[in-house]
Amino acid sequence: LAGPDFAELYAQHFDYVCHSLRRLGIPPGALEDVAQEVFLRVHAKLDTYDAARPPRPWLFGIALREASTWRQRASQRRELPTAEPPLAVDERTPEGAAQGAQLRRQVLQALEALDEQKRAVFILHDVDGTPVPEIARALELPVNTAWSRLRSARQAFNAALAEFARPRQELR
Amino acid sequence: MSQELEPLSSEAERVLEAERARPPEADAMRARVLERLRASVAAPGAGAAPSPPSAATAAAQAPRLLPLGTFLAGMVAGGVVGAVAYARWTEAPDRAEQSAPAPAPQAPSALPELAPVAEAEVGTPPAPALPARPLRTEPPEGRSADAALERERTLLERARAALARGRPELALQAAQQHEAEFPRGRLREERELLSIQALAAQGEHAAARKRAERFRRDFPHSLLVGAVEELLWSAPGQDAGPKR
Repeated sequence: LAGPDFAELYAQHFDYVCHSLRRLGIPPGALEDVAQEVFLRVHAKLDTYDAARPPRPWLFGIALREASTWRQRASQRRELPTAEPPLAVDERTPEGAAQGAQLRRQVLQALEALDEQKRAVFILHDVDGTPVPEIARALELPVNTAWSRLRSARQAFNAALAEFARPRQELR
Repeated sequence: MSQELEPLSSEAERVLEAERARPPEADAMRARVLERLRASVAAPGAGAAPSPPSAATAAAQAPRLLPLGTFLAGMVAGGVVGAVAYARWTEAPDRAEQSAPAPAPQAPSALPELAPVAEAEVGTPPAPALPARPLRTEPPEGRSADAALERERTLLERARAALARGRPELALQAAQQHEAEFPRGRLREERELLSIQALAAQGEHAAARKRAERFRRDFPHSLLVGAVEELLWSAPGQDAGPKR
């Protein structure tokens, strides 16, 4: 089967990979570094890609592993950034997009409340729209485990958003 | 097993809708990552740099990066280093099984992905980073060093872009600026290679040869030295080739 070549993957899915890395908690200051690692890994693993499957879950699986590696190393070096604004790139957004940027900021903050495993399933399903069986395949999970993580993730995500909303309501 | 899910709250649906519509990343960042991928193949230290994890990754992947180097060399529109690195890799005895006809740098017109990226965008101050050192772990005092490296890369990217546009005189100008600012810069080998190619493109083969000989003298173990010689051997009017 003739799958996509590297150029095609890079051109079509660079944004997707970077967006996924942001959702996985990679701060803007490290985004380029980790994206570089992801695409190096993509190239190295290209011959294992099943062209019959959609590329994005496969790319996400690679991004997840690289993000996890980055977080472990950053944690060991006590360099996990917490004060960095999560959406620096959106500071450039034109007028009218400010609200969208704020909403996206809330998403990233709420995702922080999820552990890595749940977060991955949640992003793939509720942001990317990937069917659960495809998620299970991409993350090499039993399907029931993927469902279970998705359920837990949704609860945690809803709860995190509600928690963010509470101070605003209490101030009223 | 039941697959019933707790529905997302209306607030969750609202914020996720915004997240799904996240705008594309900056073209400049796309170009910088591409440049760094290329640099991780071509940079002299890519396979030998010490501890940083990414350097190890690059070293481990180096043989598999041949097509990547070829692709990236083309994608960077005139970037010769990837193709040069390719040539060197194919010369290495332990990579004989990977040998293939050394590809010429592709024409910019064949590389639509990078065509929209303006030189000015590529030249915008990028986030500090080393090509083959993905983790940004430097102490505060290291940031100025990385800023300098970024400046080096910006200047050389200008040179590369100018070569791709068929403007070797501008490429030389950028290389000279690099030399003035960073006479002992970390990317001086790449600068020299670009200078030699620019001189050859201008038809100044004698000057190119002279510079190539200096390159071989200054960087006898460089990954790029063989490629420099190949450039000269293929130059029109070349009858003797560089002295061995």
